[in-house]
Amino acid sequence: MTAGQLSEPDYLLQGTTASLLKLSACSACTIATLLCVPDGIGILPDAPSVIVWCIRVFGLWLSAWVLWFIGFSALVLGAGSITRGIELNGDGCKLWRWGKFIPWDCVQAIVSEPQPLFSRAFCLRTPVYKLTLYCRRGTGKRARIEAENVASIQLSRSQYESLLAYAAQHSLELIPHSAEVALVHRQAVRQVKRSYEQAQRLKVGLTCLIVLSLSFYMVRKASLNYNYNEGMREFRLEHYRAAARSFEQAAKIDPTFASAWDSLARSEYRLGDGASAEKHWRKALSMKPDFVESKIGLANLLAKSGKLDDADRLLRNAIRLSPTNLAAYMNLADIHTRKGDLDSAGKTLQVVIKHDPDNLRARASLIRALTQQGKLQQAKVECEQATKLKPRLQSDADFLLLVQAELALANGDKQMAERFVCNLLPRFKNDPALIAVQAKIASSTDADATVVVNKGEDKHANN
Amino acid sequence: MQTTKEVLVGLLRLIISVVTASFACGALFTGINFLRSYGLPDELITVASAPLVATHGAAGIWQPLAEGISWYNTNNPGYGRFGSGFGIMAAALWSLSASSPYRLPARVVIAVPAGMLLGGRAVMMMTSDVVPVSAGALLGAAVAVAHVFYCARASRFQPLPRLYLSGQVVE
Repeated sequence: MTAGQLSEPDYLLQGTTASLLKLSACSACTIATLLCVPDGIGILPDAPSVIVWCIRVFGLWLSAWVLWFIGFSALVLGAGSITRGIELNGDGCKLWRWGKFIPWDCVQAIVSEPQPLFSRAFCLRTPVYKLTLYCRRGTGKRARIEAENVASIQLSRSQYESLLAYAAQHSLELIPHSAEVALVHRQAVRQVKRSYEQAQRLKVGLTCLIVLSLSFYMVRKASLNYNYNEGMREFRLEHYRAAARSFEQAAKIDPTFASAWDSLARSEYRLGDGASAEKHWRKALSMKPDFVESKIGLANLLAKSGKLDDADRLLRNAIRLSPTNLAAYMNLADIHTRKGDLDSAGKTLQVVIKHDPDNLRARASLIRALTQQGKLQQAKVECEQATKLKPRLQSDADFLLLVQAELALANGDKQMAERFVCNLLPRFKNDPALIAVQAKIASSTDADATVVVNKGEDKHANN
Repeated sequence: MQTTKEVLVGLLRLIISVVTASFACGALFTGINFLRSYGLPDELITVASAPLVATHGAAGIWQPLAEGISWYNTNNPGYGRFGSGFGIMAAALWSLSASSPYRLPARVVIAVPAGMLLGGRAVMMMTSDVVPVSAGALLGAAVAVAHVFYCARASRFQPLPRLYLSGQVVE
């Protein structure tokens, strides 16, 4: 055997799958409970009753438990397989595959002690033990004591006791009577004591750090989730001012939370504050450059302010990131239409219809684009298909009526166009598009078209 | 003869466990999702659709695999898809470890489909495109076979015999 290396080991002590799975299951209980606290507080605004809240919290807990169990089991089993296990022979041991070789004659002390805090924290019924081998490294003035640890959790109880007995037998020439023991060479007592005390201080410090970090994380996360969900609730109720306040609070707590910035911008947009909305959508994108919803929102805002090229670029980018995002296609088609590129608008709308054949808004927009291009026969065929669809929203049905009026007008069927307009008039008396159709009908029937057009322009200016 | 029998038993166990675990875990995760989103309006529950596309246009030798992936995606929607995937991977791993007492050739034969299922399904968490899924399956098979050889090497060492804490002094 060369110095510092373990010759072929006699024995290999590998963690049992059962004990590792037990650790995963027990730790999953603690972790799932800790993770559920901020989530449980976070979903309070959305819960209509205590029972619903309890069911959702249980669902969250179960979900966290399962995910932790899977993830942690895979990690410990994978790590166990790679690091192999504890290799032993009569000369010494190696605690893991690439660990330092520990010759038995270097071991100055063996301490095996229970870890009650760890056992309680992870709901383990059998107490966890930690075996520490204090080894002398170096010679002369450079001699020092190093501690090497093995936790009983990765082994079965009998494996742990056998390891303790084997190590004590070979290094200190005795076998302890129990698993709670400290065996020290007479000449190394002082050094081992100092090393043990250092380790204890480090353990206390680390425990405090973990507790503080965890408490801080949970309070912050709970506050963030609560504010965000409260904002979403207000937003759904169309209380945009209150929603904006909650989203702002959430964004203050975690400035990297892109969804809070996006929702804040959305609320501000609904409140008519375009400048702030643009600023916050840009902030959301700076936090998460692939945030598709922010790109679509910002594009919509830019399109409204006439920056069609910028909006076009953002939407193309959004489609590249999310090829099935139909809202992005719809907005892009709208921009094409506004740019006068009706051919591209038609093609874009065809994509929407391919993915969502029942999308009445897309079909109506396509009919309009075809009508404006003069492809009246195609528009008529599309119109026949569109009228068979059930509208999801009343606004979609109204839009189809308007488009049908435009198509009828383009076909020279004034009576039909008037009939469609009459259906819309009670609800959209002042709609600019409807007024434009009315004006066209009026001009072609020798009525006073100027009066209708002026009325429309006045209303448009007011909006 | 013995090896053939081991291969057949191992493959049968793999198929049965994968199918059963896929259904069971799919149902479990659908249940968990139901609890998580209990009482929420339907429009607030979103289902990821990105991994479910991208099999369009696969032709030639890829066609059967693309059809298979599309069938799997269609029949395992939402959170159940994740559960079913987890079930497939867990069952493949279990089958792999359950074959450890068999002879090396039998273990290698069983490791190939088990590794393919593991690797392919892991890639399907990110994309359903046939090319990455096939690459993942091949990589999974290679890792599983390597693992079998590695375990064969490690099993040369004896486990530590049971020693009791007797309180004796060793001379």
